[in-house]
Amino acid sequence: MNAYIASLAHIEPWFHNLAEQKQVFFPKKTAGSNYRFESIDVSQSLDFFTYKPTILPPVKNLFPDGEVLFTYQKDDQGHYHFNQSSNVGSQILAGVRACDLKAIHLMDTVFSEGIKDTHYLQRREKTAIIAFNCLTPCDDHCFCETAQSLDFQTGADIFVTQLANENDQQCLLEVISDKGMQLIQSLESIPCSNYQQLKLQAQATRPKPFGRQFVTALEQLSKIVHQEAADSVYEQYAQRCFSCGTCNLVCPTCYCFDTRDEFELDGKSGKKTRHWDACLNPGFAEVAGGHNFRAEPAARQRHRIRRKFDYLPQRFEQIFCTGCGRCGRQCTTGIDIFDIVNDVCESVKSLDHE
Amino acid sequence: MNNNSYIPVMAEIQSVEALTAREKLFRVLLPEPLNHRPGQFVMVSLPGIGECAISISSGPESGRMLEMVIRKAGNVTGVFHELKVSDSIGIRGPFGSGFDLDEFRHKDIVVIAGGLGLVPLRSLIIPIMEHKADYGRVHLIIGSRTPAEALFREQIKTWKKLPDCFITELVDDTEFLDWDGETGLVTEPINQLSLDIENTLLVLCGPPVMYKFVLMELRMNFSIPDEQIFVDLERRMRCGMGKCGHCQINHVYCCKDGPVFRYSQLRDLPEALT
Repeated sequence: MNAYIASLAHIEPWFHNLAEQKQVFFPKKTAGSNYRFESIDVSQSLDFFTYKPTILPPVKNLFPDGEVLFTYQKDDQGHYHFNQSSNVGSQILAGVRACDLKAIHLMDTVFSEGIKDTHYLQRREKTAIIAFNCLTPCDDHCFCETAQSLDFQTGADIFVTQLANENDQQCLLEVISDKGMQLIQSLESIPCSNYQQLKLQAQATRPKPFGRQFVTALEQLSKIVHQEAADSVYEQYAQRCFSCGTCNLVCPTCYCFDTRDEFELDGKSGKKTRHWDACLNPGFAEVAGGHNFRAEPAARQRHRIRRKFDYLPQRFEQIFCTGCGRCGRQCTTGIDIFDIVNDVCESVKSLDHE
Repeated sequence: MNNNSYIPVMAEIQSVEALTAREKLFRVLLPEPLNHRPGQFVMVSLPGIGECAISISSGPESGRMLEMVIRKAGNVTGVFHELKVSDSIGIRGPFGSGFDLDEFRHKDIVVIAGGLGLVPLRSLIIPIMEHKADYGRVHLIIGSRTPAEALFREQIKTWKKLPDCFITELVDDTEFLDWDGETGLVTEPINQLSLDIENTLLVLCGPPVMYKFVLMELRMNFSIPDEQIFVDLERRMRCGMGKCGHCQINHVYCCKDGPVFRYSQLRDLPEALT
């Protein structure tokens, strides 16, 4: 691996330069206190290292809501001709935190398994990722350390660490892939050989513990979320849940979707699109005839928690909560997956002691 | 891009037969043989209109001809019901696990079907009846709500003539219509079965409410292991490939791991049967 050192004064124009060649997405503060991943332009000054997690995670750029799965044309003989648009442009996702990087890695796994999802994989192939190392927790919702994603680096093309104790704001850039190698050409930087040492020094400044911590080891959660005692916790949270599905929509590892067919007014052409869906919505597990397999809000809450900590881990051998804190940050009634998990752990523990 | 798994193959409708007021049997001709296993399903669509998961009702030796029974249950199936001979319809699949016929050979087989449950199980019954000598005793218990909703009665008559084939047809209520079968629920004939437990496989498919009572009745009368009981489930699906999440039952996916499951796989899963 190659590593370089560059100053922030050079990195910002480098991003602007890259943005002239292709779309570069970076967290941008919107009206209010929220951030969004938005395409940057030359005039924009960048909020390095101090930005808060964006409302939507960057992985949604690879799995956009309303994506066209195919278009069709019906000819005069009544024959259908299908077409998948392949003009997906290349993009750079910059300022991706380790938690969001892990989510992208998880989605890479999901969409490559079995019958491959060409739509996701096509976008992924044309995407370069410049990830940023976290040295302080983003806010008091974040729990990435306990969710084991704080030091996640797989999938980044360049991994940026802000160096400690430097007045002139220098950064370490680890170049992990060929894509990263191509990008770094245009940055004024100096090669660095003791990058491991510098990174460890920077990471040593992190507070301990780093953000909120689960009361039980992550590895135990797959069993704990199944205990009978947990059901009363799901019930308790479900009482204040509006079943709006916001937690699903902002979650970087939620990928359930619905599909829609649309036709144009000519009656001869149209498209099929896919849209983010939410298992917290009441009708998600309904079947023809009206039977609903998860009619109760508590059953849906339980499904969400088990999916993150047990069902998907059984299939992909990784926990599907990255500790980004988005669901808790955005929930209207302040339901936080972190609190649910800890309450479940406590309720199961208190039963053990009885 | 030809590997887009959402693009259907267009098939031509050969015949449409109204079986009941709500159900139509569609026979469609595919460009290539489907090569499905009994119990598998297809995603059926009209571009621009919509797509639904529909059971395959024809046997595995049906080649390019695919038979499906579609109930008019909503907007999309309502449009399917308007289709006529020589119209085209989109097909993706086959999807799902299905039944392994090798496991059924030389076994006694009990099939309990309620309502539309007969439709997917027909794909299993047909190959068994066509090669009846390769299988043991076959019991079919087929329930419908009323005589007007009973499906495939002519075909069932031909099955009745086969050796070692015992068929009970029931309706919940005759509603003053002609009916030459029994009246009652599919649970009722269960205690009259005489089964060689070790050599018997059971197959169930019906509305969600049926499973609990059928399984309870089976429990009360026989000590048949859960591994020998198959259930064929129904869920709403969007992709058929284990991604969209709609058919997820705990850690299993109806579209990939099912829709045919051994009861032993589902026994401990809440939300599987009710």
